[in-house]
Amino acid sequence: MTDAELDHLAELARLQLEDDERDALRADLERVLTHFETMQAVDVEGLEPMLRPVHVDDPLRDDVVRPGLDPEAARALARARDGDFLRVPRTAADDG
Amino acid sequence: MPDAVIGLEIHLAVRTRSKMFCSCDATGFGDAPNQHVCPVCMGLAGALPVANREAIDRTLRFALALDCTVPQRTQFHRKHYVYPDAPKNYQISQYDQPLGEHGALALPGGRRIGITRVHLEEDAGRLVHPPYADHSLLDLNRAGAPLMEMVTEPDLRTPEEARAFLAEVRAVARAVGASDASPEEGKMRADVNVSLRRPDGSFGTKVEVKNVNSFRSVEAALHHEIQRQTRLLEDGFEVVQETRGWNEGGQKTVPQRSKEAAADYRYMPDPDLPAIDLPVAHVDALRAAMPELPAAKRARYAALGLEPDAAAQFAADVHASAVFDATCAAFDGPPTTVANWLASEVAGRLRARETTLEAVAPDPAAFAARLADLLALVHDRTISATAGKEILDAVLDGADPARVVDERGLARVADEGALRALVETVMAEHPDVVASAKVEPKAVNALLGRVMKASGGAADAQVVRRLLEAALADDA
Repeated sequence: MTDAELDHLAELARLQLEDDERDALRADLERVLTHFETMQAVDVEGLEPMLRPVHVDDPLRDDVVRPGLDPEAARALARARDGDFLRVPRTAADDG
Repeated sequence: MPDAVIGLEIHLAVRTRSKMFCSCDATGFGDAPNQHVCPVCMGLAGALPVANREAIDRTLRFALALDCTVPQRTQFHRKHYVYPDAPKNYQISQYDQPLGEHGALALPGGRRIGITRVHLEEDAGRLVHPPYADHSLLDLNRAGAPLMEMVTEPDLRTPEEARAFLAEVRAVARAVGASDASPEEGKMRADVNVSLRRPDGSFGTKVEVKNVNSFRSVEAALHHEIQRQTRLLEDGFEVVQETRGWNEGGQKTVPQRSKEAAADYRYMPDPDLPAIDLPVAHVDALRAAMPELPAAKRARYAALGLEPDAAAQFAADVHASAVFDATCAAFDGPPTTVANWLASEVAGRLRARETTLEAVAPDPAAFAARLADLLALVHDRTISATAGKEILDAVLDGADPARVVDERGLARVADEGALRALVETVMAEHPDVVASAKVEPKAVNALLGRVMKASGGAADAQVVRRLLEAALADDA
């Protein structure tokens, strides 16, 4: 696994890797990848992928509104708030 | 101007009561922020989503109306991205088994535009950016609401065509009850792809303009983008493949920061959501219950003799066409009369009141019955057209036309004796107008108007005209 691949994965996972963590993590990931390579070698030509062990008939719900969380309790879960809004990192330029 | 190649990606809020994967209210976008939330749509650990049957059926109806192929089994995937509007750090969407594929929708002119796919997903939260703050604000009321995404083939050629296509999509979505499709409420949003065709016929570099939120803006953004790309190529530059945004104030497209350096969504089947069978019998039943679509309605209205504009206007509006159809059914006169009254008199009064037909006449059948009664009174000459227009306001407010006619004494007066007295009075009061009418026959209209006014609009104008002309001739 290249440095660039490791950086990309870390970025996707929002992980900030310290230099001394990189080699251990790279070794772990390579073992995972090797395991998948082993499985990739199996011939599955003509077989439908089994995404779930059991099939559920009609796994849907009717379109009925039910009360959710108490709004104040829900807002209180946020790390930061601003009135009824939840406060999150800035995502837009200061263009109003 | 070189040929443009345009494709659209359109998002439509699905019309349901509850959200896509939880039972929170999906209709309260305008309510206090974070009012309609639960562990599922907040992305709390351990919460499990269950798909909304109604959202699936309405999306299927939309896909069928767009002539899509519908699979026998569908499923949801996770699309991963990290952004504050996505509480789970992924969006539940569809990947390789969308609810519809390989469809088409014809423009009003008849040209068919290919539909690549229609799929169902969950909406994101709403972000608000206070000016000059170091943070943004998040409202999760919309998070998890059902959202349809439809993608077209790059078949559109001009900005005007793109706008007409959006209007047709809106009309179809409303006709089948899949979405309110109202851009002004954020329930219909479009991303626009545009490139210029090279002289050798191949497609040029594609630029995407994101989040264009009105039909007019889509047209304006495309005009601007085509002009920008044309100028670049004429000046010997290349078009760069990029995502741009539409700046409404400046009426121009501007480069946009991308959400993630490189999109890497890592789609995977959502393990929390079982695959969903779509039995052929169920899809056939939805197909059989399909209402008349706007294109068929337009053709039917044109065959009734309606002007193309009026036909298009009624066909695009489920409520207006319900009123029109029911009024025609109850009225024993020409459909064009119904169309004229609806398109000018009724529409004019709605504009003046700043309201909509839906608000004034929530029950189309009830309003149509009253309107048909009113038109019948005018049509069989019980009241004059002037009197009919006068009582239309009361009819819009729920009054029975025949009763208003009685109360206000508006029944047409055709009795010659009564009208002759009125004509003589008016002529005696306006000797100057009488004098000019003897020289200039057109001036008789001025006298006619005064007699009509004196009768409160109830006089039979044809009889009055005859009496006036006879009196003027006698007087000569």
